[in-house]
Amino acid sequence: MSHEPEHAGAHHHDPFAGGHHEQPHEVGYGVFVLVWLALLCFTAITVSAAGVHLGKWNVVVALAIATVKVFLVLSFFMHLRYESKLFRLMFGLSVMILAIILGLTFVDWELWTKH
Amino acid sequence: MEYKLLACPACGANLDGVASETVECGGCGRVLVREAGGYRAKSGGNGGGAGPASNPGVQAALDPKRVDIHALLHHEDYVGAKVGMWLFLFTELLLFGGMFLVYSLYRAKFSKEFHAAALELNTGIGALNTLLLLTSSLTVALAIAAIQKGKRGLCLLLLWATIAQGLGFMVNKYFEWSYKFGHKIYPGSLEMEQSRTEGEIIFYNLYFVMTGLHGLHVLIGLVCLGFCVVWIMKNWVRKDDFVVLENSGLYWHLVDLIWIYLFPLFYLIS
Repeated sequence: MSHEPEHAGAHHHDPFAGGHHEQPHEVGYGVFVLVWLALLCFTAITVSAAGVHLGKWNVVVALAIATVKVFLVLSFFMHLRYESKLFRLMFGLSVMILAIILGLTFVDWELWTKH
Repeated sequence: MEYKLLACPACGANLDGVASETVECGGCGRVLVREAGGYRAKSGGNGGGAGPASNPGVQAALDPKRVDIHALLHHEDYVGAKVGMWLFLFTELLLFGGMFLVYSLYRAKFSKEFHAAALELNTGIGALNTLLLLTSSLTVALAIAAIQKGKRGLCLLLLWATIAQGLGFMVNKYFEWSYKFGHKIYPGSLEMEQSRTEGEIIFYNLYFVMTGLHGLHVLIGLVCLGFCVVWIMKNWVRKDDFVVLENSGLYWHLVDLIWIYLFPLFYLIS
């Protein structure tokens, strides 16, 4: 997965090279404003979806929308999209650790409450 | 890899931004001469103290291999600074992750009570705070884009806007919590123990701990951004050196990320 920003400009350095010119890619203001508008739309959707009775699916919908919003913030506002692979790798790794902790505890909980 | 040496080869003091042919090092007082790629100590040194020629320690420091190490140690390591910040953010992720774990298990056990208790939370204030945090995330991202383009004034304006929104968030939280305290809803409240179910009490305990810890993060983020404002005004944080602002921005976005999950899980489950 190689994401190249639209406004990459002339800067394209090896992220592991020394020197203090390896600063992040410049991103236009417009991209951030668009992401913000998308975030507002998703907030409106999640608030109105909460009013619809879907039973257990309400949580699923809410968490799915929240995850989409988090993805947008991470990739654009937090520059993960423009950083080197190292950052995405580290992030993926820590999310995996969290997922293992949560997943195993849920399984354990299920077994304890069912038996 | 070639390192542009902008540090004193003897003591490693930072010489970034120095352009003159000779300069007296601010760290050790030696007179340095500019060469292609950096500075070297003036031979027969007449700077402060012993000259480099007579001092074996300085001789060693002037050894080309050693100079490289100095350059490496004293260089601004932009990627390293950000990796460090992200590692810290991962510990925050685990901290809040553990709390979300507790929340989900109790919610599975007391789903009806959680729904009943969440009815009393003010969705309007929650949505307003979501709006504030999302917009403040935008303004801090724009502030970083602005300083990259060298627009210092715009950057400062956007940071002030971010701080104002963060403060607005805290003011809303103050009113929200005061209202709850007024209705005897707080952790350890005797009235709650008598009139509420166990599930509702657990819901409110989680609500206060999780939004409280989140609010503490908002306050810390505000302090970080406040420092950034001062440092930008002093020109310590600037177009070619703004990793401090970027890392503060990352922290601020993390605060936003956590709220993105807190909002539906506490305010929207009724």
